[in-house]
Amino acid sequence: MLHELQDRMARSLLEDFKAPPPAGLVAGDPGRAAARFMIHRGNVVESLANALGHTYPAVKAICGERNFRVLAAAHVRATPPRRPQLMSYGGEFPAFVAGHAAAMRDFPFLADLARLEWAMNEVYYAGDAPALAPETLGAIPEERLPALRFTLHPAARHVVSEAYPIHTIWSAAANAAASPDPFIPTDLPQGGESVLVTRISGPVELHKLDAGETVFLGSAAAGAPLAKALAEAEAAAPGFDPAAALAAVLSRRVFGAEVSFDPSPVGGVTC
Amino acid sequence: MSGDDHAKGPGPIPARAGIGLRHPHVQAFLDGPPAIGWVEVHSENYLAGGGLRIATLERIRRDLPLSCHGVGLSLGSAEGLDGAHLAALKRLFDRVEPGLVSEHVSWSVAGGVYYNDLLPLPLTEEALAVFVANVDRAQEAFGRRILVENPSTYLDFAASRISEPEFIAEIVRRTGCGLLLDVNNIHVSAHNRGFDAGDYLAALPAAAVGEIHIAGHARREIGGESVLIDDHGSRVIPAVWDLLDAALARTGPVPVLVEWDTDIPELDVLLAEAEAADAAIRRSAPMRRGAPAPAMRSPAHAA
Repeated sequence: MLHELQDRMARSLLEDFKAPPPAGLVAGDPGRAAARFMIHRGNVVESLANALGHTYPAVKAICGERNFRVLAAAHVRATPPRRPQLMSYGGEFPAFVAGHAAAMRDFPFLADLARLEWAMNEVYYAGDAPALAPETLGAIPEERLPALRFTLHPAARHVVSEAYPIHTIWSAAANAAASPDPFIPTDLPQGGESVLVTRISGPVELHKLDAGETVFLGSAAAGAPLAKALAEAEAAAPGFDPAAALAAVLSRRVFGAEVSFDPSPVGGVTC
Repeated sequence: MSGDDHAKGPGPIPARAGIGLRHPHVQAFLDGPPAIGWVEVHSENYLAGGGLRIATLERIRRDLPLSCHGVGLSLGSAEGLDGAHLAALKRLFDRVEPGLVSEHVSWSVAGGVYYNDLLPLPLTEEALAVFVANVDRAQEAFGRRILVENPSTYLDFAASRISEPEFIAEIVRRTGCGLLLDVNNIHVSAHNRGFDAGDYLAALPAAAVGEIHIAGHARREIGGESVLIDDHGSRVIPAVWDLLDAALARTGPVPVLVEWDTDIPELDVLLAEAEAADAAIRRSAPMRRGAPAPAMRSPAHAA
């Protein structure tokens, strides 16, 4: 039965390269049959590991090609794609990296770096949608602005690492030459970094955010009304400039065109 | 052929050489279309809802006819087709209006997992019935005829009972789909499985051929014998050019695609291969002057 044959074959494709192929499936001499079956096992695991390498070039550079192949092949075997399009494959890789003791011991920032690269992948392939326009904001009566609520644009992501300078690490790794050996970034700043990933005219852009912008964006993207998001940012970063922060989110297409108003302070009108 | 067939079926791809559109060459295409008849892309690379990649394809599509070649539909899967994937492909086709849509005589999905390889089918009546039902469903979902490509293969299943060209001819007969004839795949499979490439070619229905693929392959030592691997990573070898001539002698002029997917060279190398393919198409023209292009026929199931 075709169903059974395909299930048996599929299960075996993800087994270790040393595991024997399913018995009796392939015609001819068993040794030759096994060798021929191995071509497909290699195709599956290597092509999917390569796909992860395309989505995670900085993680690959940090690990070095040799280590990355091992890490990626392990992920392919544990979590193969569920959709027949490689652009959507790899969303579970950051969590896999976080749970990989050896990788995290050597590179404690690796899972956060992977989260940043997955955000870049999502932004690159996100659907087109209008962004919040300055005119929309300008047309809102001043007394209603405090209750204004935003939504994140489909092609915008905010990635924060509390402990590691992921923007600096990503920039260094992205410029590193391909190598079988690990790339160790040097002269890293202390502490974490917060990164806005967005798409303005097409290519994916990364913007490192300061403390005030980080709190403002985190709060606003989570649905806090404008007054609350700005107040939290001012409390967290004394030099925070609300006008500059608003101008930046507009020019960087961070928010979608649809806005709403928080019902609690000024009534529940949605536009 | 009615105007309606032209609008819905494979049509606007000319009987000339085309090349696969690959990332390193995209800028060159945007700077000005090279002197080729058409381009082909892998459908699954363009299923994004927006962004630069699909916008770039729409831009190139304005200059050149486009063919969408699928690698993820898994027409040979016993569990049937993925409805969400069919719908995503349909949206892509509505957006870029390809002149040809094609897929493979293979499978790559089992238990909902996508294996990203064109896996071989056992050549049985059951597999044939599964494949035919899936092609019917795809053609209905897309509202158009598709082409299916003969596979490159490395093994024979113990369960197989039908010859491969017979299996493929029967798919064409039962579904009305067309044939994407990959002559490199015939050469690779003939070497790996020990059959005669000319016999295989002769057993396929020439009138159904809507497109031909040519490509390079690699030779590896596997299990103590030489195996040809269909890696699309080098120039077309003389034996495959000869097979192209033999195929064109049977089909008359049809679109020919130069595929190159690994170790992608400078665009000029691909254009030189395309020029040689164009010469082969021209050589085939006098044999069939005045004959209708085979790809233009209506699907049998829609007649």
